Amino acid sequence: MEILFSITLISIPVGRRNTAAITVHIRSIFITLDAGMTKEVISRRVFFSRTETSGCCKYDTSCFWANHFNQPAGHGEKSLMKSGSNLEAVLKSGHFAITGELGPPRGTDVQVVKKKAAFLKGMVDAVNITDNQTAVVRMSSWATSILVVQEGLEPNFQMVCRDRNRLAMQADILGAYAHGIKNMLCLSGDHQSFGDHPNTKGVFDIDSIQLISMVKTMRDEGRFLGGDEIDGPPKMFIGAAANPFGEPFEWRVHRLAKKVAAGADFIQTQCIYNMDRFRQWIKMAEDMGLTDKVYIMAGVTPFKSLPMAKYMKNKVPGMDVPDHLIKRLKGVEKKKRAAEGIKIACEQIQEFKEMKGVAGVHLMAIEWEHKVPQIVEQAGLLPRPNIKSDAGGDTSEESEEEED
Amino acid sequence: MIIAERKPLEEILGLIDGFDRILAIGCGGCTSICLAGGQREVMELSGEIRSKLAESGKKKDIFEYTIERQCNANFFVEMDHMVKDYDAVLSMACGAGVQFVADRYPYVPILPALNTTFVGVDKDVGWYEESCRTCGDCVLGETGGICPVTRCAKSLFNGPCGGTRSDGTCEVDPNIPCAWYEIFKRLKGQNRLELITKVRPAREWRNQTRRTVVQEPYRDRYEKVK
Ligand code: SF4
Ligand code: SF4
Repeated sequence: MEILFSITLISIPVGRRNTAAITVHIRSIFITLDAGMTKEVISRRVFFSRTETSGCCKYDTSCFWANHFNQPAGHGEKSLMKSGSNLEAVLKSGHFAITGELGPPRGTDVQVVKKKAAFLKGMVDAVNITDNQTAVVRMSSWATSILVVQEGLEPNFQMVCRDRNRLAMQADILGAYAHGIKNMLCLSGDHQSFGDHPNTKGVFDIDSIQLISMVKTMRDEGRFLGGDEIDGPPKMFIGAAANPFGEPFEWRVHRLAKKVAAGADFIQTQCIYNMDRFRQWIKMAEDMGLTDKVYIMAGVTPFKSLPMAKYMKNKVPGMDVPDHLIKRLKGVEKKKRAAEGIKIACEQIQEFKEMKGVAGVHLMAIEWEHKVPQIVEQAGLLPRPNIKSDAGGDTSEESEEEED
Repeated sequence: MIIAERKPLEEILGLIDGFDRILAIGCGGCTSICLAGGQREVMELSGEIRSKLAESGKKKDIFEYTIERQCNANFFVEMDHMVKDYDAVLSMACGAGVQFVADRYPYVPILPALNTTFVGVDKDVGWYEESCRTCGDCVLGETGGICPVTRCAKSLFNGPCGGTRSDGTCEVDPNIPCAWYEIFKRLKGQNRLELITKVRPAREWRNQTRRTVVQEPYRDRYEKVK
């Protein structure tokens, strides 16, 4: 600890701070030292530990530490975030988060993206941009993500391992981050045989867990997978998927643990219909301490119709749709089934809100984006928290949350 | 063993089109064992070619000959004197054998009669299954003797993916067991699940450029040759 104090004290420019601030600095330094830490690493840790406990940067727009580490002045609580994305801020503040989904067009029509984005704006904290979903060619996910940024929505850039090798993946991550994309979801990807080019060569150079670990290495160590240093590392909020219903059931939570160990910050699950089984899974995750380490967002896809529900039940591998839901849909008039589907989804969301270990929902209203405002409203998720990431932003809401 | 299948007759006819005198050579190695390119299959193929050509009143001079193996130059000696008398050689070996024959007789066109398919095992007589993609860095010791590179449709090293069906089959094909479901079951049975709880890092692919292997006892010998 002595060493730490001396480093800190030497580097504080007293002229720019009042004594109270310095006291805060000294009082709040509390970090763990590992053998072999460089001075740079130690001071970085000191910086983060300090902001984490005192949050004094909020009061000082010419923060020394911000300058020292080349961060924007007045970064406030954002500085202790991994990426500074809105989704991260919402989750970190303890709000029940919601993400949506937007499938890129099968062509170059930007209007399609704009139209879908308009339905989602203000309704979700971030929107997943799918990456050649079901192995069908679409506008690339990073390009669509940029369009979405321009529309004032925060994207969650999806990346599958099927279509790119590690060179292309890292290049796209750098490019995406440079364009303001701060969340990404790391996936294996549906097999190419399901898509419109069934005999393409699936790449699978690395798998989804290795992708998570690669993005983390890029962010936290500032290194490429090959070991070279990155000039300006991409600070991504790292997401991963989980299927609580795939076989072998008892192994699924261990696979979740592997994703967490690899560096996942948040998880979006497969669409959930079987609530009992999901509850069982989340309990296992909790027992393993995973819900403290990662934000789990429960996947919700409202049924649009009876045929869709049946398709989900019978045709989609790894999907678990209980019979009572099919019966319930059958029980209402045909033209009221969509409304019933939405009602079921909203009931689920209510349950998730109260379920321990669930940090939010991931609403996959596939080609039903125009229904999202209604669903979000009906589920009581409006208005969405407005946690500003810009300098001097209103952070009072956050600090309240941070107290508990 | 290397498993191969014969190309469709039409394709073979296309390959030999324009050549009148053809030497069809079988291989007594893998392709003979998997019933694709041994002595019997050479006879069958040339018979089929002849009768097909006869339908349109054509004729070619085809001579069948089978050697022990086409992947070892010592076995070529016996046919060295024959090759120059033919316009083309139709090889019924795997792709490796075909290339080796082509290197030996660069002055004559060498044509493949087979599609080399995979490295696999006999499921039964005439029924074969792929089991190894020769990745060069075998992980079977940690995956319960089940190859994730070959048997998982996505070659995952930290499987299973989210698509495993409720009956434990692969999302890609309900008739194929999910490799990672099988790996889980086997390791569980052996009480060795800890082998797959740690994250397996991205691998260094070793089958990206042409490889050579020199076994330990021969290292000195070939070092001198180089
Ligand atoms: S891991 Fe699979 S592909 Fe690689 S050598 Fe072993 S069996 Fe062959
Ligand atoms: S279902 Fe199993 S075998 Fe098929 S791709 Fe997924 S992990 Fe691989």
